Amino acid sequence: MPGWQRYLQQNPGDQITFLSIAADIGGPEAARPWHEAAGATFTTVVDSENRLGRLLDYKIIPNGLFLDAEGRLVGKWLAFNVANPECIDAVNAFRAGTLAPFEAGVDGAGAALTPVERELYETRVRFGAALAAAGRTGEAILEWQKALIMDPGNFVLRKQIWKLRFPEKFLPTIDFDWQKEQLAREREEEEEMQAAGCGPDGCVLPVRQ
Amino acid sequence: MKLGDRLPDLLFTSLDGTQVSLSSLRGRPALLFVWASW
Repeated sequence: MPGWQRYLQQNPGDQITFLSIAADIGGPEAARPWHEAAGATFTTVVDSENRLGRLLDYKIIPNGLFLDAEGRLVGKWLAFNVANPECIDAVNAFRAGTLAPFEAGVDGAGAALTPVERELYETRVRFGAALAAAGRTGEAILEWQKALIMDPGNFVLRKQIWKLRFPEKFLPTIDFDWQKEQLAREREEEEEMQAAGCGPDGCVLPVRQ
Repeated sequence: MKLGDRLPDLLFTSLDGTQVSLSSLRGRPALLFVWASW
């Protein structure tokens, strides 16, 4: 955020509209401290249900979405970072009107879900979001964990769960070292569950021969 | 959704409570920066 504020201050002009979108289940109150700490002069809106993430099926954040004047997607950069000179080059070219349509960056491998499974997954994500918004945190975590088992590469979802379970690891500062350790722990647990035949709805009981 | 597709007219709420629709951005290219507090 502060990086983009600096970029916009150092590169003024109205060739494009810059819109910051906080994909935060915590809503405006979660996003506001970061917006204010950056001294942001651009508009920040909140996508607390991660609608864009579900629409564009990305599993990580931050991302840059480039729209033409008609609202069409002409560029998508996953893991979009102001500290990456190539990202800045793309933005400069976009402002100059010389950027060709592109997709860049990396995303986590998506789970191979059938259409019915995808519907179930998205229902769990939306239900979890509604529970979280209603303050039913424990139930929200359980619902999201069921969804995460279906799509373990989804870091957007995993981090939302972490923020509910371990809020102290995100405020006042984000503990990225803890996130690496927690991810390793959870990956190990998920592999053990999978080996034991367990999934989002429980474990398969061994059949007595 | 793929390149070239028009994003649906999603409606978001800004930090000051005003509604911002994606359709309101039309008329000028736009860069949407999606981030999170985590």
